[in-house]
Parts: sequence; C-alpha cells; structure tokens
Amino acid sequence: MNRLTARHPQWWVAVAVAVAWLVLLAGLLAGGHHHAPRYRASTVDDMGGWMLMAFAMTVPLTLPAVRYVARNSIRSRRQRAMVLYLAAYLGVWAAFGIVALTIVWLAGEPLHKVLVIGLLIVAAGWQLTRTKRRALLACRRTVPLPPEGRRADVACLRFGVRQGWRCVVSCWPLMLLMAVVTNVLWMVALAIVMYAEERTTTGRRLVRPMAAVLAAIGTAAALLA
Amino acid sequence: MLRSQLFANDALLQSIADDNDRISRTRHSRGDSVRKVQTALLTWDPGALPRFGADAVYGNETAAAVRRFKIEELSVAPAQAIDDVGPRTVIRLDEIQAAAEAPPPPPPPTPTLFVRRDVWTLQSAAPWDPITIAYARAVRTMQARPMSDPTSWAFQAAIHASFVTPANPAWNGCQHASWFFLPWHRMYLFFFEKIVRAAVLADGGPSDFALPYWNYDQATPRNTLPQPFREPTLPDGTPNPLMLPAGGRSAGIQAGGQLRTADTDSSNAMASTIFTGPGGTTFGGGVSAPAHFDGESGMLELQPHNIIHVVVGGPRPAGATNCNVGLMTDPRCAALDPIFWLHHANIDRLWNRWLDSGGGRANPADSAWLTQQFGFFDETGTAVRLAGSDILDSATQLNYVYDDRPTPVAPPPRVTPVAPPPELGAATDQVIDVTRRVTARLVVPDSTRSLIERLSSRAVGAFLAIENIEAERNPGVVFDILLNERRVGTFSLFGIELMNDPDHVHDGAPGLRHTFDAAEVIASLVSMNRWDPDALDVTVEPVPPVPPPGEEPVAIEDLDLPPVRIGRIALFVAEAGPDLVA
Repeated sequence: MNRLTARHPQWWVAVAVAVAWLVLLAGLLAGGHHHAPRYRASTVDDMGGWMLMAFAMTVPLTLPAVRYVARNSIRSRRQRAMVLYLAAYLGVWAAFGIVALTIVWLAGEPLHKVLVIGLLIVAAGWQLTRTKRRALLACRRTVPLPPEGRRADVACLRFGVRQGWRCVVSCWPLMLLMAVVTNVLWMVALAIVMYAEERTTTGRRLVRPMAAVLAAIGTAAALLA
Repeated sequence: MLRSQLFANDALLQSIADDNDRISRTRHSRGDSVRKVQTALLTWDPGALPRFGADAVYGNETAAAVRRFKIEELSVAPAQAIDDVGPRTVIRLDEIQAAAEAPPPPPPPTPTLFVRRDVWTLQSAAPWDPITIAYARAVRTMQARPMSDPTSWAFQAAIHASFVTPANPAWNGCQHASWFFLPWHRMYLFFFEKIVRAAVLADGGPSDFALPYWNYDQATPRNTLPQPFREPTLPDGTPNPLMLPAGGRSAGIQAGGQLRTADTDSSNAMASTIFTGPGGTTFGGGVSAPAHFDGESGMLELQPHNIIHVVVGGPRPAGATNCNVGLMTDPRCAALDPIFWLHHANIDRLWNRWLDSGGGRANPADSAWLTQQFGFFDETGTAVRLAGSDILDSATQLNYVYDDRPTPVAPPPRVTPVAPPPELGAATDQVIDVTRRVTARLVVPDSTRSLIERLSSRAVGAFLAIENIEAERNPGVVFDILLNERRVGTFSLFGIELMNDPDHVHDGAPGLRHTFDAAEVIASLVSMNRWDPDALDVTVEPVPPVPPPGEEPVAIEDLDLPPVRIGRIALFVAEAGPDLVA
C-alpha cells in the first residue's frame, strides 16, 4: 500500500472522483424516471451540481498532471501542491460554468431544444478544428515548479490555470451541452469520450470519427424534435 | 566439334561444318538434319519460317531464311548470298543454338546474412572501398529520382521529417522521445538499406552490400567524419554525393575535426539494464501515451544519438526552412545527409550489443510496444508495415548482423533503484536563460536537507534533471552540465522544432527534460571533500562547435546563439528501500 501511494500520490484525487460519480449515479437511481434528457430550470442553484459534474468529468483528464505536480514537489509540500493545482484547474471550470449556466438561463427553456441540437452540431464541427487539435497536443506542456515558498504556490496555480484553460478549449462544446442536459447517462457517455480523447492513443484517432457521431446525433435530434 | 545439343553427333552437319558437304534444295533436301537447321533458324528468329516451320523439307521458305541469315548474321553481301547451308552457316547456327540451350546464368549468390561493417575498417587501406563506392553511387541514383518516387532520396528523407508541403501522409513519421525510437529507426533503416541494395545491384555493385556504420566512439581517426564523406570526388572523378556542399555539416567536422569522447560515449546508456519505465534513465525511452508527463527519451537516444546529430550538423541560420545548412541538426533535414544512415546504423548496432550484454537487459514485453506498427516503402516502392515484434532479432527476422558480433565484454549491471520513486531534494527556483556559461545554485528546503546530506553515502541514488528546456530553435551546439564543476553529462535540443510545432504529433513535450545519473559525480565530490549541501552549484555550459584540426574553437559569445531557457534544474534522491532491485 505504501509503495502504491508512493507511486501514485494522486490516489486520493482518484478516490474523490469515484465518490463524485457514485453521488451522480445515486441521483440517477433515486430519480430513475429521467431517462430522456431533462432541461435545466434555473442557473445559480445549479452551480453546486455543475461543480460536482465538472469534478467527475474533467478531473480524470488531468490526473497525470496531478501526479506530475506531486512527484515534482518536495514531500512536505506534495498535498498542498496538488490541492493548489486542482483548485486552479477547477477554478477555470467554475468560471466556465458560470458563463455556461448564464447562457442557458438567458436562452430560456423554450430554446433549450434548439440549444442542444445546435451544440451537438457545434461540437461535431469543433472536433475538426485546428484549435481543438492543438489543445489536445498541448496537454503535455508543464510549468517549472520551484521547490518552496510563494514561488512554488504560484507555479502550481499557474499550471492548474493553464491546464484548465487548455481543457476548456478542447472540450467546451460538450461541457456546455452538459449545462443544458443533466441526464447522467449523457454525462457518462461524454465523460468516456473526453477521457478517451485526452488520455488514450486510440481515442486520439477517434477525434474525427467522433465528429460524425455527434453530427449524426444532432441531426437525429433535429429530425425527432 | 559442334557444341549445341541439337547439332552434336549429327554426321551430316559435322561434315558440312568441315566443308565436306552441303544442304540445298537439291542435296540432302529432306531429313532430320534439315529439321535441325530449321529449328536453329527458329531459335535465331522465331519468325523465320512462318508457313511451314520445322518440317524437315528444304523448300523455298527455308532457303530464303538461310539466305537472309547469311546476309544479316554472317554479313554476306546480298549479291553473294547463296541459299544453301554451308560451313559458316552451320557453325554460326550451332553457336546461337548452344547459347540458347545454356541454362540462364545463375543470379549472383545472395548471402544468407548481410553484415553491416564498420566504415572505418572498410577504409583502413584506402579512402574508398567497394561498399562505400557502391553506397555513393546508389545515393546518386536515388537523388536522381523524382520526390514522388518512394524510393527516391528526398522521399526517404521526408519519411523521417520534412519542410516540404503539402506533406505526403507517409512523411514526418519519425519517432523520438519515447520507447518507439529504436524500433521505428530500425525499420526505417531496414527498408532504406533494401532500396540502396537494389540500386547497388542494378549498378553491378557488390551483391552482399549492407549499410556500413560509423562507430565514432573509438580513438582517432575513427572519431572523425569517415573519409568517403570528405572527398570531393569519387575514384572515377565524378562528384561525390556523400560530401555535402559547404555548410551542410559543421565546418570543423567536415574538415576532419575530432568528436569529444564526452559526446560519443555510450557507456551510460549501455550500463542501464531496463529498456523502458519512468524516471528518465532507461535505455530505450518512456512509454508513449498522449497524456504522459514522464514520456522521456531513452539514454541511447539522448547520447550519443541526439548529441552526434547536433555536433555533426552544427548551428543553423535563424528561421531557416530549407536544408542547405546544418542538415543533421534538424530532424526535417537530417536524413538528407548520407552520414545520417551510418550514424543510425551505429545506434541500431548499440541496441544489439546492449541486448547481448545480458544482466536482465531485454526488449519490452508489453503488447503496446510489440504490436505497434509503422509504415515504410520497400525497394519496389510498395507500402509495407512492420510491428515491434517483427524486428526484435535483426539476424533471424531481418537478415543482418553487425561485424562486431558477438559482444566483447558485458558491462556490470548497475543497481537501479526502482522503488520508492526518486524524491525531489533540491531545485533551482527561477528560470535560467542560457546564452553562455551560466551557474545556478540549487535551493535545498529545510525539510529535505537531511535527504541531501544522506547523499554523501553511496547507497543512495541521485538524479539531476534539467527540466522545461525551451528554445525557439535548436542552437546547434550541445550543453555540458556540471555539478560543482564536475561534469554530470551533456544534453542537446535535437528535435525541439518538432516539439514546438503545435500541429505536430510528437512524443516529448515542448519543454524538454533530460535526466542524468549523478551518483558517481557526487561520490567523487565527497571523496574530494567538495560536497557541501549548502553550495550545490549547477553549471550549464554551451560547447562550441568542433574546430577544424589545428584550430582553436570559436568563443561561444561570438556564435550569437538563440536563447535557451531552462525552467528548472532539480536534484532527485532515491533512497535504497527494502524493495531495491538489482
């Protein structure tokens, strides 16, 4: 166990992600009747739900970076460094959440269906852009981490903001979609897509085919609406 | 004596050959001998007897064919050509028939195993050897082919990387900074060698042609550019394609300057006993995965591979997007330099020697490595693919060996601390800009001070990592790293252009990281009483290009190097735990 935690100092973050998914899935079981996409009614009360979802969906993408931060910090600073990194990373997602939920609120319920279809098409198009591709390739960019003091803290925060922003650029249409649709099954499906793209070699090859899948779902949703 | 099986032992034909008889429309005009003459005429010209063929009758058609034979084959003047069969006709028909009956000449024997030889051993007696001449001529042949031809020089080089746009999908495939470095380059060389060999054979060159290798890690003159790459002309006086126009290589190297032992030495890589793994001190490199922060070059890739690339190529002009200067320094030009292939043959050889050394040294057994396929082109220009599992043994799977097989002496396996993972003990806390020699002090936090102090005992592993190395372009010089004035290692920025390119899929993040085993240096500092945890100074020193023989190196200040930024220099400590493995 000691050896495992030494090799994977980010283990507790992974556990926290698992707990977040359990909470989300428990919600699915409790409200099992929500099989069809449900649309959000309000925004500000949903910030807590948004952060839970953002944690469950986007932290797995950055676990290698959390491990990098831990292993490149002195032992006594490891936990602090990981927390600072994650705080900055999630801070970017929180800011994005505020923008996303505000857009959804401003659009109003009648437009939500249009928003979902539109976002699926936009997500499909986004998969094909150079910006998306660059954001994926930039995943391995790191920030030098000084050994101690304020400089070390700032570097962890800076690394978190950078990775968070890079991740937003890569996945924003899918996460904006999740601000409209709160169905847990959608959440699981999109989380798998995002994880594969960001962290697996096979997933990287599926970035373009995924555009076709998203476009097909968008078109089907438009025809059924 | 008539030699062909058809004419031999025919008394009449022998008699005619001896000028004692003849065949004509009136004499011996039917029979087996006539059929034999007709058969031989058909061998000479399959259309000679269009109506009756070999019917054993000496009629008008045969007589006309014999007359034509005399005119065309025996150069008899038409006025003197009589349509009967005399001695010259029989003898010449016999020769033609015998040649046709002879079995086709056997193809030149193909050796069962090709041997790649040390280029300096080939040229020990004279600057040129049949193998190097054949290579030079094949390079010229390939250079004459259009770039659209996969067997052309330009196409083959572009498979590695290229400036040329629009890029063919088969180009820009080189694998660096990961565990695919060695297998990809082995496949690349294997098919390139097949293309060169086909050109050599077509040119009548040695049938046992195999790529020579340049083992620069030897005494002078072997640590200088091989002579065939410095000669302006081939022995026949034609221009030598192995010598690049001025500027193509570092001027000092081109003039025969000596490589430093510090740059050619492969002993650190050979001492490592693990092919892949985390930590940056493996032989073959880190696992390639999209979100891999530890994805690092193997030690053999870093040195001598990367360093020789840069030292041989030398500095390139700022903003250069062509391959006129410093070819070996930029992966997009490197394979255009004919020495590239001899350099890589040497790296490939070292991989074999490493495996021979035992001590647990082995290729990865991971299926992600074994099943990873890469695409190339064979000597017919046909697309081909190989997987890692196809190239594990060069002798049995790819039909070649190196002339230094078997290995001389196995270096002792080093004790590699694999668990627990190395811990950060000290690091610089500000970025370092390197345009000339620069020294930075490592900050030792209070909480790791005892860890650093324990480094004075040999049971503790120490690794010095140069991290987040960034530059807009490769300065074309290498950098020595010193800890308290003792050399720990040398690094280069080979490949940084590809890693900087936001659109290029490449292992190795923008922000290179090189890790050096510092245990030996720390031990020597301790023994000299120069080990002081309060004064750990790391020096980064650009090494000027190799000067031509007899000249002084240029001052680094005069080179106007592009700035190189080092994000952090860190000292990691691996304490011998209970699960330390040998």
